Amino acid sequence: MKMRAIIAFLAFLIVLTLPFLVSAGSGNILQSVQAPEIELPDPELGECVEDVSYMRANHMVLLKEERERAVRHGERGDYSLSNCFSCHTNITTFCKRCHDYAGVKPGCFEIEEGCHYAPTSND
Amino acid sequence: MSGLTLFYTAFTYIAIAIFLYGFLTRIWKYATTPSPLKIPLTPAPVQPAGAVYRIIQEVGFFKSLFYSNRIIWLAGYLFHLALAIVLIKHARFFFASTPVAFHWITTFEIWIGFIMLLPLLLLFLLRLVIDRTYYISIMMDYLILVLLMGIAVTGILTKYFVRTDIVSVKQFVMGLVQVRPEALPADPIFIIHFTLVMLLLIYFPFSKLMHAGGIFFSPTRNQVDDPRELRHETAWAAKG
Repeated sequence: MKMRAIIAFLAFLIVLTLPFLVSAGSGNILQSVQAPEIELPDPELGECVEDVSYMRANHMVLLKEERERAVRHGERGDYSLSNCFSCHTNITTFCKRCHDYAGVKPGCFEIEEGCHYAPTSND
Repeated sequence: MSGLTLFYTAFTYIAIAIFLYGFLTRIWKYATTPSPLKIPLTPAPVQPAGAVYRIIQEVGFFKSLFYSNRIIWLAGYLFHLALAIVLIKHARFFFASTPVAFHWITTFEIWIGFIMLLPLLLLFLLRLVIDRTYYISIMMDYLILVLLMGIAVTGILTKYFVRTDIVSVKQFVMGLVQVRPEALPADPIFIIHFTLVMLLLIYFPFSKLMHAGGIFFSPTRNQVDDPRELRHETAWAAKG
């Protein structure tokens, strides 16, 4: 009776504190808190189409709406992926670092069931 | 570190402490409450495995609610299912690297927040329009629904309409999980969402939301129908 109560108690304790337990047990406590550093493009290339805080939260909306306009209506504008690539030339040092950190797939590229070839060179 | 960050860091730990202490003491109370009589609701399983299967049916499919009220079952089941998926999706904020087992769930995007919100609205309306449920509803019943709706609405806003920068959100949450506080993201909708969740955590152990743990301890569901085969004795009633 007491034994079963203890087992039930421990089961709930483990489920409820899982994030803390995993974090303490995984050993990467020191480096994983901070958001990743990304390699920013050459400042000489000019300003981005929108400001940084807007882009951080909304870049996917711009890309998606631009895709609708380009693919469905044939109107191309500033928010195209190829325009992004003219400054942000490397998926692994730019897109992927934050996307991996947050556990979100970038939906644009062929390896991620998207349509586009990812930029991979930095030159 | 700003004052707001300091306040929210302290507030979060207090909320989590109240939630854990409250939840676990309630579980301990449920688990040690004597059940002196065999009272499984018939037809009841005659083997322990059958009782486990019965609990799984209750927890996984709300079986007895299904046979008593289909509309409430549909609304309640959809809500709980959506809540489960939403919680799993939130795992990306709580674990340094999202567990691989959760990856499949982030691949399909089905506006899950709305599947959580609409059943809550329906449940709220049902309480108001059906005479009998209106009569037995107290303010706390509405409060829970309003609180959950507030969480769903602000969550939907941060995800689809007034998007927030989830990298800074994760940085803040991981700071809390790893006990090295980080700056609170300066996004009002996120802050409201976060505050409402903390209020829910504080209120949880004192409310009927404890059905989340309590359902496992219902004697009418978890007992085996074997009083003729085995003598049923509780520890405090057993002789010497």
